[in-house]
Amino acid sequence: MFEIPSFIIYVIFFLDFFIAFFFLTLFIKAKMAERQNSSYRPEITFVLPAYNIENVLGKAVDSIKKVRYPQNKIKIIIVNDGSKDKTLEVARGLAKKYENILVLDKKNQGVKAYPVNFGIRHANTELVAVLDGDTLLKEDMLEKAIPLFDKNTMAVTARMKPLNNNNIIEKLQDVEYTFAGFYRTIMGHINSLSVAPAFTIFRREFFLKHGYFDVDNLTEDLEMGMRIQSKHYNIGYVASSYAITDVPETFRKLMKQRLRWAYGTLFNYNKYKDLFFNPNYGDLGIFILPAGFLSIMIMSLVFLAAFYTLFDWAWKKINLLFLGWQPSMHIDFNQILIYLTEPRIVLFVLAILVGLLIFFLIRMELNEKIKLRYYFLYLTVYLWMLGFFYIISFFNFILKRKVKW
Amino acid sequence: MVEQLKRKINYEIYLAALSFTLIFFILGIFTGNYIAHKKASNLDISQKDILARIELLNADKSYICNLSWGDLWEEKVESGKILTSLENRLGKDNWAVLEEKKIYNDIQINTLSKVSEYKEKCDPDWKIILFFYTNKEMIDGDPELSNKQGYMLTTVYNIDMAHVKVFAFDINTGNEGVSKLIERYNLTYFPSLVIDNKVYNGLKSTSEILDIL
Repeated sequence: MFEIPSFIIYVIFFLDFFIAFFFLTLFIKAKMAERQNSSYRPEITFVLPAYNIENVLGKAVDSIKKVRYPQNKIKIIIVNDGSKDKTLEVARGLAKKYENILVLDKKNQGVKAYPVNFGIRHANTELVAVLDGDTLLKEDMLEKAIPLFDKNTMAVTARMKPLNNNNIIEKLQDVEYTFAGFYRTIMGHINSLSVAPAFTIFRREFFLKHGYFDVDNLTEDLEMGMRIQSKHYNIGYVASSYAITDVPETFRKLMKQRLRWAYGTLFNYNKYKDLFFNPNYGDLGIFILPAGFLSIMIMSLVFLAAFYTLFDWAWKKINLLFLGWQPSMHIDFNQILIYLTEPRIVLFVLAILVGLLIFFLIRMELNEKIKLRYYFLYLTVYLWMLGFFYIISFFNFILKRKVKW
Repeated sequence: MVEQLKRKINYEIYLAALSFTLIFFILGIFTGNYIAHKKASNLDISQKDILARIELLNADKSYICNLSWGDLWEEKVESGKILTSLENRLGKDNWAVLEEKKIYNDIQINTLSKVSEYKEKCDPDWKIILFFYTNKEMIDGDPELSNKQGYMLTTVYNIDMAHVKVFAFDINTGNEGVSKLIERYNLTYFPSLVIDNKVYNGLKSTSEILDIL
């Protein structure tokens, strides 16, 4: 039977530790200092694409109206994207209730970038915030985000939190979003961020100079982030406030979303491959982008290796059972101890300790009360699941299979 | 007007991350190997103790049926288990493992002669199984089948610990006593079992072994 060569496992551990320690060192160095430009108060337009969200659109607009920012400087454009429910009526009702709301109506073209671009083209303010129609903002979001627009900053994105946290799929996404928030905070300090899908504020001049969202891209937000980076502009990050977004609540919906994200990630990595290992892009080019791709590869490889090892182990044991082998229930601590001294096992234990260190740092720094058991499930189940999605996406990408929105 | 970034590479962070990674790697590999070799050296002490006690037993001229075996048999079985674990952990060709295997084979050969004599003269209800296996791919031997045969014998031993006495011999250790046994029973294929002086070539399932017993 084929055995996974030890050196591959050691290389994976080495890369895993290196990436973790890179972020930890950077965290110590940066200590979350947010750059401020506190006197800056420009006009801003919120663009909300709305497709069949009659129940949540009102809440999203209410949350914008509650943000602490001069209300005369806030405009809202709701783009009804051919909804089949009463979204358009709800939007028109909101326009009557509040000032500075423009309602646009267009037929659905299947991709979010169309209504977003349509909305941006109708905006005339210096800043344009693009958010999902069901995204809710914390009241202090603009207070925290706008001062981050310094002389190099073309966009500011923010930490996201799932709207619901009821079932296990949502709880695991909560862990994932919190971890992403931590890593993004650190990446922000070396100008290596992308934009968040459900809420980002852009300078409108970028769209005018470098084009609107790519309508042929499955992850148009990631593409926009990479486009901003490729033009050597900064993307700021708000860690101390957050936006709330709806997340898939079933495995089926999660799989559909993640297959799209994974395919989009691979597609955009390929589109911007010139940035990889390019010293002109600083840490983004020589580390963050290659490490992102490597992490995907490692996740997929670990999934494949674990699946193969489990299958091989089960197959061998079934064969033995047919020959009359009876597993012993006796636990031999000597044998367990010897097994635990295997360097790969020791490194695995050390990797878990580093993971726990990051877990407690995140709890402390972001003031998030994630439970340890969900973190454990995230490591043992969720990451493997993502590895599985990436493997499917690799095949889809190589075979050029179409992935739908 | 937004200005373009002047990007830089933070070399000091890469250096720090690399240093931490190397420290963890060295720490992980060193700690694991240190504990494993400590276990091997403990096994060395206990095996030499068992061997000395068996030699004393062999030198004892009193009537064999009055000999006290004490915990000798259990200790021999435990040594075998630790040796198997070390073999899996450090590798079948590791020098420390091969050294311990040589001592283990001496223990087995010495115990076997005394156990055989005891069985012959005192007539206990014991079943003696000699198991000859190979860890190396050979024309006349299969390590995969040898490994499976080991599992079957463990099951047989667990079913009837009081009466089944298993002696496992790696044929590739170059032990003179093992070579003599192979010659004596005229063994031509591995794994092979010798149960009460009768040779069984090739893999035998648990039920086949129990039927023979």
